[in-house]
Amino acid sequence: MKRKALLLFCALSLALAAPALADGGDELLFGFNGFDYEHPNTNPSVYLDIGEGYKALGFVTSVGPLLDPWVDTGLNEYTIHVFDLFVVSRVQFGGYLSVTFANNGRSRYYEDPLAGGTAATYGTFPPNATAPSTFIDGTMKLGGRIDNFVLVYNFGTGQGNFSGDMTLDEGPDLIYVPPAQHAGWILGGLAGQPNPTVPAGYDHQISGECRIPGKTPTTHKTWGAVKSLYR
Amino acid sequence: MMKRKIGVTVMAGLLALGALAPVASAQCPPLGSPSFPMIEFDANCFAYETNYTPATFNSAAGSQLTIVGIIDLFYAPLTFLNPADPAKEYTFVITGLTSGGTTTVPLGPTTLYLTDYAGGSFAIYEGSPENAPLAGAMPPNPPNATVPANFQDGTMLLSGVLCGFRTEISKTGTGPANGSFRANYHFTGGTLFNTVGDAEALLSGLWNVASPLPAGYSAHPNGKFDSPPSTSAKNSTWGSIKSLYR
Repeated sequence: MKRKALLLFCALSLALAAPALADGGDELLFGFNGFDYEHPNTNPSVYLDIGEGYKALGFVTSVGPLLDPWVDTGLNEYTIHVFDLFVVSRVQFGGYLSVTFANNGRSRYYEDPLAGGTAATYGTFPPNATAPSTFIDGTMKLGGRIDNFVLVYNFGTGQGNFSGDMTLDEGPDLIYVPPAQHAGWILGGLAGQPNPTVPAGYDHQISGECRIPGKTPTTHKTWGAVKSLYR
Repeated sequence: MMKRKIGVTVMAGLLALGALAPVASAQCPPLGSPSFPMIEFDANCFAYETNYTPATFNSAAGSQLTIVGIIDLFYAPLTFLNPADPAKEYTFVITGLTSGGTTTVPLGPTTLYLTDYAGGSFAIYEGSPENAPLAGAMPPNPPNATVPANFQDGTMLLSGVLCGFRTEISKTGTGPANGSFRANYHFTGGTLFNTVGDAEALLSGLWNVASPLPAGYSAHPNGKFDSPPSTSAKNSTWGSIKSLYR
């Protein structure tokens, strides 16, 4: 615990320093798994009808280098909540579905102490007494706006995916992500029925990650070359 | 003329979709219940193929797919394994997946790239020291000196076979491509075989083709092996048990 506190103190002074990353690549912010569901589900006979909401709940399964110093799974449970996504268009041919959503959705990840906190519990047919409440009752650590969210699903094979642009903009852990790396992505794979892991009332098991841009690589230049850029 | 052409295109698309009704997975043993995530892999997992075109997401028929990864988490009944132990690493390799070729299907603003793979087997290892390359340092153009070699060293904890492995990639408008993978699997051996059993379970997850990939790799999977359902115990009398064997 003392070592963690010292690490926190030292790292706070370095919070704005960009980490060394692979040139040109993006990097994992955190990974997650969980389940998704519709809410509001105004037309239960149509999956993700126009105006319906898409939500997801789950657990953070890993973190990337920017968040790793601030995560302690021995002390805390980490959860994710995706919400405020509403269908604006859908195209379905046969068993295939492609859905786009209005901008300004949101994703947040939370930290809840194992001792004294409430264990996140999916229950059935969310929203219910424990979902999403037990996934969002800890400390919101990091969150972001989601735009350009698209979900594609194949009812025949029971698999699909989602993707969206995620711009980090809230939470105390935001200081650990350099501003140049705030504009990232949320990506997920969907595994639907037959799938015995999916609790009743949820639609698919999800596996995914939030990713952020890698650091722009530096190059060596002479002072004259730099000056010539601005003439 | 234009309307007729559009109509024909839509109909062709519908027919194509009809032809793509579930195939391989329907021929696999059914999944049992209950089941829960059991083995999770996230950042350090990559796939590569012998004949794949990244620009078109096309896997040629006959292409051989290999997946290597480092395991991040174990859940019940494998919680006694600790991926955070710095003296050990837990890795897996999936091999023997033969592509049936990629089918491209238009779906409004979305294009789908669908690939079924036949066969497939896997093994999960506990190795020491930690020598499998991480995401930021994957050596290019596998197979090479460390891929898949450093993902298949150590003690083989579990082995198994896959059924119905399928990747589905989609691209909508100018947005990034994204995908998923899914397969049934069951364990066939390994030192921990008796802990998990051989019932059918699900392997699935994100098939990330949007992120820049190391040279020579085709995707970054992120997913999990779900647990095989265990045979539940129930109470019985000695007389009832004896009667089973008379």
